[in-house]
Amino acid sequence: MKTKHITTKKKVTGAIATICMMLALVFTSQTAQAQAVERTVSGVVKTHNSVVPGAAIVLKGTNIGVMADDDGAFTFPQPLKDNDVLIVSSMAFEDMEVKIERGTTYIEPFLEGTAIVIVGALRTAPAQKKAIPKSM
Amino acid sequence: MYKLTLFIFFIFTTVTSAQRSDFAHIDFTTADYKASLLEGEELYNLPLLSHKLTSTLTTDVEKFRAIYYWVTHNIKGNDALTRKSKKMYLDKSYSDAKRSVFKQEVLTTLVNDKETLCTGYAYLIKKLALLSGITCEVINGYDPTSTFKSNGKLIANHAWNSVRLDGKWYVCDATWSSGYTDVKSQLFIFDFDPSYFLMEPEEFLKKHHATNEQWNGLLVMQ
Repeated sequence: MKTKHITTKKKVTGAIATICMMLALVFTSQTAQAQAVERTVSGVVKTHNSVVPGAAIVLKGTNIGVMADDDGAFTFPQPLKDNDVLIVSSMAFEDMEVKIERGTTYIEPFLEGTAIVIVGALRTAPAQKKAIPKSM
Repeated sequence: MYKLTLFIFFIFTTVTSAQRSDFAHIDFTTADYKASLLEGEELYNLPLLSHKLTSTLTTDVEKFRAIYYWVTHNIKGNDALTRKSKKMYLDKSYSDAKRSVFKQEVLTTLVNDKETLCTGYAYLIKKLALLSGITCEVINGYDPTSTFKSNGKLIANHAWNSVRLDGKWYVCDATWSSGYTDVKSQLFIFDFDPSYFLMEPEEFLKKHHATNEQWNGLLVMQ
């Protein structure tokens, strides 16, 4: 009776140990996978029938970024991970955001030309300073 | 009587809203100082410039002020472009292709020389504001007291911004805040006039009439 009890206890301990090891394995592999998805992202900025040279590509909310070359090509200077958002911006185009999807290493942001209408008027005299509150 | 009181109260509260005095408790010294530290920055990387201008400021109105201060102190008015745009507006014989080339010329001059006309000022402010998460629009319109007419009708020759701060639309005119072109020398002189920053709607409307009437109504009705 006593012997049997010890055996059961051993079995339970063994099972717990196995589960712990499996869990450890799962966690380790997940960490390894998370590290693996941080990768270099490159791309070419395009518009209708051509590339966009010199666009700025910046990781949203940071000052990390790169400028596309004359062929619109760029390689982002920092490894990126899933769900990072890049802002692609150029003066003559509408800015756009690109979300880095799972496994993405190459993107082709497509910029639409800006729809502004140019109108012009400039001030031709110094300001009438008396009308301005000093606090502003 | 109750309805009348309510009506008067309603009119009073709505008309007095969306004024610069809403932000009277905010001191813009910090925003102006941060913007002045970035004097001479280039326009090649707008997300970066926007980030530098605004990331250390906490309220949207201060962020917008930093953008406004920077643009009005670093972008010059270009008189030649302005005259060309007026000519183009009046002369309908210009083709769409030529107008498109002119648009590119305006935007290239803005990026490379940091010189522009009113659309460029308003457009740059809009871009920098959007990049900082602030809703902002370019508004085209005219000065009702202007003499710039075509077939006896006043035509749109000016552009400014409407900006949404704390749920209300405010107005500003960076072109007129930045400086003026000296008539004799034809040179641009920086002469910051802060009165056009979030100007009271009634005052603003005297010299700014949006081509899209909704914007005029919105200013006093919200």
